Amino acid sequence: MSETQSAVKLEKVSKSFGNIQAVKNLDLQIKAGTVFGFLGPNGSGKSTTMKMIMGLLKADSGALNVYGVDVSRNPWEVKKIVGYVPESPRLYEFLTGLEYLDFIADVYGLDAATKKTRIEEYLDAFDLENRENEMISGYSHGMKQKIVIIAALLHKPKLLILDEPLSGLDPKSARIVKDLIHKLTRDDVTTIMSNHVLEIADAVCDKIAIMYQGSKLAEGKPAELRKEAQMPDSTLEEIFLKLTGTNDIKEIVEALGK
Amino acid sequence: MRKIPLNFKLVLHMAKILALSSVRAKRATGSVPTGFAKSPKINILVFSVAFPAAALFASNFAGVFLKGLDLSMFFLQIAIFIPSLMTLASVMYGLLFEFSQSSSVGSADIINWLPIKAIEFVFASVLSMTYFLAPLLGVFFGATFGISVSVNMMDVGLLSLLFGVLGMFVGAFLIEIIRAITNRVSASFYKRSGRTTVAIRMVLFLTFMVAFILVSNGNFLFAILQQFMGGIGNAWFIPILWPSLAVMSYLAAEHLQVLLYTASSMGFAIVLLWASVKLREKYWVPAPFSIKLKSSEEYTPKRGFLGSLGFTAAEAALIRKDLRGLTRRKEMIVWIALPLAMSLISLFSFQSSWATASTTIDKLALFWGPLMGVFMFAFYMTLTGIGQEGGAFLNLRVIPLKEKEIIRSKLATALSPSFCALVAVTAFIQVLVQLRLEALIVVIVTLFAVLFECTFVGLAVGSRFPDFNEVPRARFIEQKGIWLGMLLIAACIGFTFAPPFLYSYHIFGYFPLLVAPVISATACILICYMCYLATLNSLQKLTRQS
Repeated sequence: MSETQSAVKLEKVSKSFGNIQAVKNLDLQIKAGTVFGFLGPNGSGKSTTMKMIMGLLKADSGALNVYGVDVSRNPWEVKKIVGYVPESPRLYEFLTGLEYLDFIADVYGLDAATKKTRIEEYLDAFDLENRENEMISGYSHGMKQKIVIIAALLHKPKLLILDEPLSGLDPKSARIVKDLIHKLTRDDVTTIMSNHVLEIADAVCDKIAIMYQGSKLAEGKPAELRKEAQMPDSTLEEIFLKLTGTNDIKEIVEALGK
Repeated sequence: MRKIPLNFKLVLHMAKILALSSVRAKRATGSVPTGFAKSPKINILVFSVAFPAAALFASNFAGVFLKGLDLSMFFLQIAIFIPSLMTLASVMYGLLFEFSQSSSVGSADIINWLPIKAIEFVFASVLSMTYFLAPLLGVFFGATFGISVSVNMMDVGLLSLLFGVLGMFVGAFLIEIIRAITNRVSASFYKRSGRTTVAIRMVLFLTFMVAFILVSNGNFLFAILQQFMGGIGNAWFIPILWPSLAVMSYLAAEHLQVLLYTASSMGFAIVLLWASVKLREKYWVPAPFSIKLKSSEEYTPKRGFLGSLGFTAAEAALIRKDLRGLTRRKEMIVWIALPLAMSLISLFSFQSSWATASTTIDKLALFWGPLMGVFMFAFYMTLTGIGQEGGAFLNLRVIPLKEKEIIRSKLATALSPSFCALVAVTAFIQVLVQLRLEALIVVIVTLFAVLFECTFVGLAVGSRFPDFNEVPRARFIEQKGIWLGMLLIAACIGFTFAPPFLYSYHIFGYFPLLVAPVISATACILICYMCYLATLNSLQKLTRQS
């Protein structure tokens, strides 16, 4: 794959926190206009990798490029083209939903007309109209998540990084996000997402990387992963459990149930 | 016989947890202390050392420090005042804790879904406050007891302290009642009002904070004490004064009244305890509420006048966000209340001092209150400017904001109100003092130089030592940051004020008056530039990769 076709390119990227190695020698190329999914148990390095791509964490070694921009040298340029939904969103709770989106739109330099059109469109799509003038402190977890997703989409990013984006969303909004990801892909937007719901990853992602203890265990299209695991008729969950060595859960459940 | 519905072991454990949450809220690093400091027992130890030490010191040296006062009379006033003061102090402390607690914490409190009885929580909460205040109580109670020994009124001292403890519990129960009621009332109130709610809440918090700061002021408290002694005899119908009246009756050897007031005080405390438990049971879980600031209408984006002042859209957005936070966040009210209280304190003595002020310097010195208020506001706004972002600082890291834009907007947020206030104070000074042109230039340059220094130094220190923790309390700045900031700003103010003072008192002989503002302005520019570079460096570390 050529450099221009890659939206994101990681070469031998490692990151440690004290004695814990969160990511080990990770190589990754994500093609522009695709949906890339990170799967893995808690603490496998998914969020750390996404934070490094976003420029929030500095890799101890290796190289990271986003649309040809070196993340470590020019994080500001990267931020301009990326929309990010963090694992635990933190909002300015004293602002109303509308004020928060207005703030984000201003930071990305949207003009008044675009800002108005996009904010109204998204508020309507996510069923937040009539609630937009309430202070965020009174929002439910799902409503906050919707605001964060809208904020990430407002400037029409070239790359979307979604860390557990569907957490707390109602079924309708979750469906909207999934459909939106497909639509954005058609518009050549690249999406990287982590998810624990494997059916969703199976349905949404063009390519999946299974992470375990900071390393990439497998990478490919869902069908390729089935083939690689020699489990052609299995669900992604079964493949995931096999690859991560956590398929012996029957004994655990029995022990817990005693 | 009905079993007492109280698990004492659980109460003690929970009190320890609640006290720990207060103690550890001070730790900016998030590290857990080891050894003896990890337990609130340290506070009890401090109490047991502070009490005898303060008692010993006061019994030997009270006369030296309170020279000119009739020590016996002073002690009697204090002894009567202590029980009511303790009620007031614990109410104030409790409310202060409530105000500084991050708004998002209340409903996430785990005690709301654990099998803990209301009475157990109330006792634990009260006990945790005692733990937390123990060192302070050790000094205060010890000193009072020491003075009672030196004036041979140990019995009165002991009685006053016992009623003081009772008064403290009365205050703590009152706080529990207030907390439970506000859970309910504020929820219904906030639902109905909207924008007015934000204004009313701000005025209420502001009033309380100003009152708290005034009460904490020694001179003001002494004035209250005088008033209190004159009126307490006629205030028998106010229950929170009953412990003080019991002490007063003891001094008058009216034993029946002592018994009556003691029984009434204890009865009142029991009623309050019962009420606080019942209210806790009824309004156990805070009702979720939301504040709708305006009715849904068509959204029209506004550029505002900040754009026309030369700020970029991103900077203007950040300034608007911070100014909204200043009026809407209860944790921020203290930064408005503090300067306001400073101005009020100075106003108490302004009229009498003005009459006796003979020189221009004397007259100018009388404006220290409002001036300090303006400087403190600017300083604390920038000192806490980065930390007040809390966990939401992540927003500033993921959006394409340059460090310079953050600096400009944070400075503008602090400077815009304080600059206007300083213009008003300076105009007021000129109207009253009527300075000649040269002197006016010196005053204007010096005052505005100090204002800029306060703002820049505050931001430099605030960006170096921000405290993003919001749970259990939002502090915005690490303790060492506060001390360092205060030290630096004191040095800067001293340096900037030095030239006009040197001129006024001819310390280095005569030099032209207008040289003074040139030196002050030059110093200000240098200090601000150095602070700007330091802030830029700190923000680069904070916003870029880690």
